Amino acid sequence: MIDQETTLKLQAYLDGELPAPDAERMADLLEHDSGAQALLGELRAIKAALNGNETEHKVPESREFYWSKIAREIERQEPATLLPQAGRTVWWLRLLVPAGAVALLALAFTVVLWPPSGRSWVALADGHEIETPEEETSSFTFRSEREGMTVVWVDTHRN
Amino acid sequence: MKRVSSASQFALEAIVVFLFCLAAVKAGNDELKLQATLIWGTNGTKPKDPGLKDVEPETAKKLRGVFKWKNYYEVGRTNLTVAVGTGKMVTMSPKCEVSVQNLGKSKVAVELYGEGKMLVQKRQPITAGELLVLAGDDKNDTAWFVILNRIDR
Amino acid sequence: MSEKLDYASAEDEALVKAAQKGDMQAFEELVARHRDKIYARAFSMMRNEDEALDLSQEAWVKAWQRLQQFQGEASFVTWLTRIVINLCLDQLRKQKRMRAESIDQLDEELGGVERQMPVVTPNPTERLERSELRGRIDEALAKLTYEHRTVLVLHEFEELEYKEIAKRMECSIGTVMSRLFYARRRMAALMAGWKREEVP
Repeated sequence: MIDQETTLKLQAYLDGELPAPDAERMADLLEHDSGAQALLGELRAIKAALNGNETEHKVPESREFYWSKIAREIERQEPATLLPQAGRTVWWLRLLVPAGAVALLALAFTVVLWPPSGRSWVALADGHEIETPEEETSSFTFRSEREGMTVVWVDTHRN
Repeated sequence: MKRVSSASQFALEAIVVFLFCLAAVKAGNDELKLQATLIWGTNGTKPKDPGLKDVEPETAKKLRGVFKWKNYYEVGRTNLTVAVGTGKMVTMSPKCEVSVQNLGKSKVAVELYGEGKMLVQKRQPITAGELLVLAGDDKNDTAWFVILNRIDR
Repeated sequence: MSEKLDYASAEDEALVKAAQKGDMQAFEELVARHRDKIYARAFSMMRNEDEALDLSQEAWVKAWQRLQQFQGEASFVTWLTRIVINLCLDQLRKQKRMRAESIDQLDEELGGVERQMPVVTPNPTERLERSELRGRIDEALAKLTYEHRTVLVLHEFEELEYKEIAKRMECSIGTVMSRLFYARRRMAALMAGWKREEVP
């Protein structure tokens, strides 16, 4: 049986990582050592089997969803970069209960820009359905710890 | 006829009950029992629509604690059971659908569709007592809310 | 007026240049094009879907933040793959999954039972169809410990040299060589259906 040092050198020989003098000595060994030849053969076979045969695992989420989380995180770390107008106010605060309750909201909120979308779509009952053509839909998420609620607000209007 | 001793019978029944309990626990671990509710929020008076019901006081209180609207009315409600690794689509209104996928370990992926187009998707844990709310503006300064919560605990 | 970029048909180089100027849509196209590859690399190292999703997305965010540093010395995908590999390595270090590896690590230190294994048939994969082969490889990879799988992935699939692997894994070249040897022999044994004998 060949020793551990030699087996590792044999592997390095296969991987092209052996300095030239050592590589020559290894080549000499392989000429007359059948054990070394067999081991090299095994290593070579598994190397060849792995070559180009990695399974291509695909992202298990839709394009939009996968991207939305990336965009949201970029926005969170760079608040100014994604907003279309520099002076845009944080309009959604008007939706919320005045300041005292706003303070109870958790910190995690961001804005995601969505590709151009259609219309407000809620049909509550006859007479309550609306259609408002718009060019952009955005959404953001925030959490209220006090109320035990995570809210995803879908903005289907442009103010 | 061979008679089974009472001790053996008891042991057999105990085993059967135990197996049923195991199955129930496993089913509980695998599937999620959820409720999806479509709610309309307004500061105005309640419209004359027989389909609208007052929202449960506890839910209304939570919504008031976060949003500016004072009055909340339930448009529709659906219960759904989703096995792990599967999804269900529910129609909340003629143009509003919600898809819920059970990702396992009490995690869901929720997709909201308006007129057949996906508007938003959210992936997150869903625990008892917590609400996942998808919401947006409606006309005349009102709003719609789709609330998803667990009802299996 | 500058010409509007046709994102879907633009080359990566053009998209990167546009993204470096702040064009988020160009960056999104890059994400759409290469997300599977980056995710696959993260999954191959972490073997956990949620972790792979989080780390691959984090890699994209870091790429956006560091875009100005990318000078085209390698392809964009290669550059991004290095980012996700580093994130995975950081995560693996944090997790410190020692318990599952302790027995294998001890074997390694002692010279390893795999060193004493008889050589398996020279080509255990010879008769397999490609899809079956890929499936077997994937199954076998999942059975390796994190450190053995990492060194195999970095050497065989990312084609990094021993020195580079040692630097990234923060270990010696000797350790890289031992782990690689062990990982290869274990893969050969797993794929040949060989059962590990107990060491007396």
